[in-house]
Amino acid sequence: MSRIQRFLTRSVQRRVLTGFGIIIALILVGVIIFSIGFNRIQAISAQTAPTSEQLVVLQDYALSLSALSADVERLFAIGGQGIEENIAQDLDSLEIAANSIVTGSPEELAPMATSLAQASSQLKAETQKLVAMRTGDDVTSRDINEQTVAVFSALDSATQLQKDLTKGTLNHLGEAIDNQQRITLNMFAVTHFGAVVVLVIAIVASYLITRTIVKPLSEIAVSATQIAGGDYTKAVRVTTGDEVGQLGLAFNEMAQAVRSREADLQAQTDRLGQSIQELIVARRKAEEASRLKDEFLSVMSHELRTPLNAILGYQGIIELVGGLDADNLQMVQRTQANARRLLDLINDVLDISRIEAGRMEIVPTEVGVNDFVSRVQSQMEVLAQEKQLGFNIAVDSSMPATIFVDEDALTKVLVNLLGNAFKFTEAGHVDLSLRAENSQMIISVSDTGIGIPVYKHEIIFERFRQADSTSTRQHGGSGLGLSIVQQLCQLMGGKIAVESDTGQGSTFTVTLPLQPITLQVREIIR
Amino acid sequence: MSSQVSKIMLNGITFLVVDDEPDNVNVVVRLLTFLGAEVVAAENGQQGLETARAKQPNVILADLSMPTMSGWEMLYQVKQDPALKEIPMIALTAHAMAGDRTRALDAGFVDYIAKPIDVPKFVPQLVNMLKAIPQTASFFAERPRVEVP
Repeated sequence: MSRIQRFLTRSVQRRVLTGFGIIIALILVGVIIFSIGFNRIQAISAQTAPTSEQLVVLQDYALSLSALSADVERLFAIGGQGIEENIAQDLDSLEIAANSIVTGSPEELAPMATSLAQASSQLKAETQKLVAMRTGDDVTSRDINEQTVAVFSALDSATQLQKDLTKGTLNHLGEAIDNQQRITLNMFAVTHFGAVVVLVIAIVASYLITRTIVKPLSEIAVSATQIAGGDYTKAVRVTTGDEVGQLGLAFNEMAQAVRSREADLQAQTDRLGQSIQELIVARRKAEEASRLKDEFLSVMSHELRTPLNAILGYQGIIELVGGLDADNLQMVQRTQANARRLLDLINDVLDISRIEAGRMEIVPTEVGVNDFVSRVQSQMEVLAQEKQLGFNIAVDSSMPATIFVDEDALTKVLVNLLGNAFKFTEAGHVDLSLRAENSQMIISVSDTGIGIPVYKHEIIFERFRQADSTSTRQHGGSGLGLSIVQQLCQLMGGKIAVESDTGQGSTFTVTLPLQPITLQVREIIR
Repeated sequence: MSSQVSKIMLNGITFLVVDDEPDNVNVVVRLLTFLGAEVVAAENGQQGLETARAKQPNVILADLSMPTMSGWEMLYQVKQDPALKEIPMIALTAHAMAGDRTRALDAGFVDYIAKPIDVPKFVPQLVNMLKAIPQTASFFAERPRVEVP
């Protein structure tokens, strides 16, 4: 059993072929049973056919008897040669029929047929005797009568036998027909039963085969659906070594591979998530550091200004109250100048720190050009007065009435440039001009000062550099001003250029985008 | 510069100076007094409020960062007090980073001066402010100018 099972479970093909084999074998068995039955029916038909002929012969025999009876009666009533011949013919017919009956009789009726043949022979003998009496001499009518009675008696017994035999033959035929019917019915039953059995076996076999193929397949389908849903816990149960079993094994291997790949992917995703988390933390730290730096700068600014307030304040009062001799007054003034320089340095260092920390925000607002220029003028005028220099401001008609800039940043740029111009100019004038060109605002600060040699045009924008390194001592200043100016110009989306040479004075030109304030921009700002 | 400064230019104006740093108070008190003003001082917002109620100054110069009560809180309290709310407050602070000025004006200070004060710049700056403030403008309109010799 287990060997068969092993044989069957090894291959679907084997199973299907075995199933077909069984069904074909069953059909063959059915055909054999059917042909056996058919042969039986044929045999019985062969038996019934002679029996039917026998009935015909018996009929002939009966007719011959009737003819003989009629002819014998006519023999005495009419007489004549013709009748005698008729009787002879009748007797011949009878003999032939009787012989046929004996020959064709079924076994069971054979004694009765033999009796009929004997009765026929006796009838023939009695009849011939009677015919002979009629022509013979010495024959009394009484003899003829007696003989006639004998003939008729023989006729009667022959007729009786014929009837019996007919009856027997009919019975025999009935039995044969019954038999044939029974066998036909049996055949029918056997054939139907066989068909049903074949059908049932075929159904069972196909069910079993289908089950061994379809059930594992649908299990695989269920597993596939579960895997699609992310559940890898259900492996396919492999019970056979056939193609379906191999499919199941392959499927399980695939599921395993998918699971491990997904685990890898998950791990990778986790790592990525971790990296993102780290990045977020790093960014937060950077933001916090930047905020702390900003806060530090703010505190530094506050803390450095507070003592300077006392220094500048007291010295200012001393100078204001007066009463110092020239020497002391000069010392107070020098102290004040140095305190101011320290303040400028602090402001510049804080500015540059803020720019570097990326905390210098450019916030453009709507600024009235004339108001802005007057504010700058009032702030710088004092320097012009101190050195008795000309200070000319020209706002070209091409300039719009309002500009869109960060006022603090632009003020810082101009105060720095103008401060430098006044610082490095001993005689002449400082000019500030504003004009618009190609949607750009061009601001020029020019002076008639000492000028900057061309080869130093680059380095003046670097930190802690002045055109003449000795000039720091001579002119003061942190050396950060132009660097801050340049960076502020860039932050505002513009640039700065210098045009100068030794003894030729200097012209610094700031070019900034001139963004005309549209209604939309105004709406957004509000 | 000194030609524009006179010993009576702030005559009749009473200042309240509020600052926790004694040197800062000293500098401002001495300077304003020299210019002819009446000056009272307080070292934090709380004291400032009490002094303001007692002396009814014309102008308050207040630092922003102070212990006990900051300049911001004092401004709020002054604005809440019907007896004080008309007194203009000017911020006088070492908070001089970008945006500090705007923050002070937005809060309700009438003006803003960044420390350190440089006397030659500070005096005209303050006078211009006071002239622009309705409550103090009258002090400059009525009085005849007397120059210091």
